[in-house]
Amino acid sequence: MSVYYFSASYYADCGTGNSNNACNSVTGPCYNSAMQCAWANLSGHGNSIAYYCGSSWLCNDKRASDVPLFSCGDVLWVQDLCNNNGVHVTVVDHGPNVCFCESKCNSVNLMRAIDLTEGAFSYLENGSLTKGHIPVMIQT
Amino acid sequence: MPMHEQFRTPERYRFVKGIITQISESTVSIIPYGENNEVEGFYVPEVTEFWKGGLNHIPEVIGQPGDQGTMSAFVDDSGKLLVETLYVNHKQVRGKITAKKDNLLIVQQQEPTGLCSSGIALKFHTDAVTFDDIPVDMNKISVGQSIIAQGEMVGPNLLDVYRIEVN
Repeated sequence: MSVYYFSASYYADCGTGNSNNACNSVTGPCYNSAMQCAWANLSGHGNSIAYYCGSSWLCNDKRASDVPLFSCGDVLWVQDLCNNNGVHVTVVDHGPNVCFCESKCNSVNLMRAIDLTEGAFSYLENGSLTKGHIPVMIQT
Repeated sequence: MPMHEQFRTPERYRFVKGIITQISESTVSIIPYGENNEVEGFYVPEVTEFWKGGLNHIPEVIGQPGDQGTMSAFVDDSGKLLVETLYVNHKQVRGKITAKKDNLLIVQQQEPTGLCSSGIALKFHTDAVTFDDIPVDMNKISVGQSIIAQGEMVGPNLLDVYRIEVN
């Protein structure tokens, strides 16, 4: 088992023209209401954070190039460090394409490497969509 | 307040986004986007909360038929959908800033088809903050930057923004 700490946001564009549907041929399309996510370093699609921020871009003690490599269809256990809610999500998309190193709920600064569907984010946040990002623990 | 832990499991969870067809003091009905069948959610005293703009939820029922409803809910043992939150006309916009004037930004966003893009105006709620909870400083926002904005749709192409992030 591996454990990672990252920052997570949500996106409502999953499955639409604003997402690249990177995993469509493997997992089928992304559904906004499903427990799914986009991951930054996706096998066969590259590392979006290294691409947009530079591979040596640093957040806390992690470089962009340190983001672990996952594949379409991988299932991740994502736990919200603000309230300890957790859920399994399936990797179905590639992203986010941003350079953010951020903290919430007294976490240390964490690199944003995961975009949850609105449905998954809302589940973790007890039905709330008002936060922009949350610190999460990811287990594989 | 979160739904009781007996119901609050991923297996019972339903996230529904669509058009509100009926809303009362006890239930809301929504036709999910891309579907034909209406789903009905039942409010739970001291649990169900509502949102229509700003950073806070409220306990009072808000919204009307024709509004967009985004519902977080859980199925009970009898198959009833118990509502945890109902967001009215909530929208997240991602795109590029193409114009800026006073308290207003124009953002070019991609259409769901991906074939074309459309403009949307963002005006800022009085208590609008960044993703890091810092009050928005318009002087730090420039044309050409990428933006993520969350807010309430108050017109066909107008978002009343409560939270933004500029990259």
